Amino acid sequence: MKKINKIPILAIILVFALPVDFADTASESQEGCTAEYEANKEVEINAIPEEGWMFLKWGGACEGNEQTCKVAMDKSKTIKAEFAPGCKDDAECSSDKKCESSRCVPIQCECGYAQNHQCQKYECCDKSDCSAGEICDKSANKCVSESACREFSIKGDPAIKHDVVFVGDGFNDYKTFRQLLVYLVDYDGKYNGMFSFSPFKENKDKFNFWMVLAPDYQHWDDGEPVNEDIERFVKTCERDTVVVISRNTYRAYAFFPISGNKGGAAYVSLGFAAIRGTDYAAEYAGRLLLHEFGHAFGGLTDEYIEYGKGTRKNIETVPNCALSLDEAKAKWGDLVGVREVDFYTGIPNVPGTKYFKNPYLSVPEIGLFPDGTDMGDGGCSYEPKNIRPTTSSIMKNQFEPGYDFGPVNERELQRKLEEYSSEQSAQDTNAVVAQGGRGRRFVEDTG
Amino acid sequence: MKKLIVLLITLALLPQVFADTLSYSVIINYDNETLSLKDILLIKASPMPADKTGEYTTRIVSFKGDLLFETNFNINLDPLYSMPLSKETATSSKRLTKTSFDLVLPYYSNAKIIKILKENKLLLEIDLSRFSACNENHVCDGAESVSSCPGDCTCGNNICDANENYMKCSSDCHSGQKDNVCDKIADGICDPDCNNKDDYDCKATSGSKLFLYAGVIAIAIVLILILAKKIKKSNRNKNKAAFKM
Repeated sequence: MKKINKIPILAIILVFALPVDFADTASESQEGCTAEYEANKEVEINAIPEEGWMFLKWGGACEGNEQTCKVAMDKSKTIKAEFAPGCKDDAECSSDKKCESSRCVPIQCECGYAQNHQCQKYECCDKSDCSAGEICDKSANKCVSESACREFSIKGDPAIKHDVVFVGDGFNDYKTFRQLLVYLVDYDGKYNGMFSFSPFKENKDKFNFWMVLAPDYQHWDDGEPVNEDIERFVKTCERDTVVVISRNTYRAYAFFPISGNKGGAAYVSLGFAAIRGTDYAAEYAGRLLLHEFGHAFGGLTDEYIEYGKGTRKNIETVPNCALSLDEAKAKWGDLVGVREVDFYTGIPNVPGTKYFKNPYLSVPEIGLFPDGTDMGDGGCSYEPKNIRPTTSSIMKNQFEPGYDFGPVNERELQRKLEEYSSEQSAQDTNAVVAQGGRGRRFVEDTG
Repeated sequence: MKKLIVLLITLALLPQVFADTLSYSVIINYDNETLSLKDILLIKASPMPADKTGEYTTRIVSFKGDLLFETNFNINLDPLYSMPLSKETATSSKRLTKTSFDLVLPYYSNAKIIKILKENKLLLEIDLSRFSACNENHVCDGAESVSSCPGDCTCGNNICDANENYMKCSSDCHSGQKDNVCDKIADGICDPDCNNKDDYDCKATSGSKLFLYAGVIAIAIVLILILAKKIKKSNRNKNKAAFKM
């Protein structure tokens, strides 16, 4: 008969934390027990308290406070299990705990926090907790509106970039709209687009471009977009300057940046540019965008004149037009002589200024105004008596080939651009590829 | 391998690069100097920076009345048109009397109201309570937490504050800590806020002390008895020696 090699003895002694009361409350099992196990086996010991008691911790050959302890039987061992009176109900536990098996245990909340012995629910922890069109911001556990805008070209953190949102007025698909934006933004400087001209072409990395379709954008009877409708599409987007690209035909316009906001709004009519033919539109649509962007981003005023319109208010705040020679000198006097910068008016013989008469009709259809002036004569902000820095520029006639912004406007635009960073982010994309990702953005579709 | 390292670094940096900011998107109607709220919602976007120029002032005020944010702005009513290309497009010239504009303002968990003023005259108030996570009433209520409302909620800040004890907040006030509440928890630590009767741990401690004192007294008695016996024995030997002489 084979003799089993036994290693005696494993002793379990159950001890209460209160020796004085031990004799009064001890049950049979609390007197301890002894058991024998085969040598070199692993033995699992469970400490199960009676009702009203809680397991505190192990002693002897076991340590810790987990209810289960495993011991290797390489020799006889003594194990001590300490018990104590436990809680009877939640009230005996702290606010963030509950009484479970006579023990106060922390309350684990899936979507909330523990208070008054129960979970208090957050507004949201997941998108499914929010309404349609909303996502859950987990930093505040609040439902926030989901961005409607898609990425066209993102160069970095919107906090340090100028975010331009293109709204596709009348556009039904992103593929067509994106292709159009490739020409208008013109990263490679091939199409007279935004990045064909200084100072934008030297600061490409300071812009993020977003796009959103607006197939049902509202218009007035004359074809102009309803200005207020813009918010319906962009209110959830990162945005500094908003540019509505319309298929409708209307005279393109823009609004200065709301001070405090980094940019304003521009309404660019492709139909307007196409009046003289599609080839013309293809060549000059980018310049039209630049003219309006000069208003909305740079706060630049128009450098043409328009009979009977009257000077704009607050001319003293714009950098490219002046009401007097002194004001003009203060604004761009230091640049006189640089690329023909001077003080140009539409009024002859004003001391210190140069009279400029447009050599051709700016808009042949209209002809000269009743006072004999042309839109392209000297002057600015609709008045011939005002003083502007160059004979022509993108801010005068956006369709006049061969002219750029000119030194005064370029300096102002550059000053604005200094507020942004060229710092590249990991998610840098080129002009053509729209990006999804970042969690809350739409992933690019195929249509 | 090099690409993999770049990718890993990129992924590691991504959340920092695109740290989303929470903002209020506030859309306001303008009608002949009268302002009204058109829409307000929370969005993940960078807020507009504060600006000191502009005839209108926006203020975000907390429940306590503190000024959280202030910026100025103008409402632009004059569109700037491009040079026309034809007679039909040359006609546009208008100054708006009605419009709407939007402000992207920074989110504050304790913001109560947005005020829009012109020359210190209040034009519009917008209630932000429904977006707030902290009503600053010195009570940790609603969905407030130590992270969203540290002024009202202190439980979880790792400090056993004056208004806390083990029963209210065990994460800050530990059993056995002086917090003006006897928690009676049998954890081997005698709570200094308890009478000996109330905390099992104190009883255990006092019982042990009793044994200790009894033991010391017993040892002392034994030592005295041994010493006395030795002295007695020594005296007896002296007497014997004296008798022999």
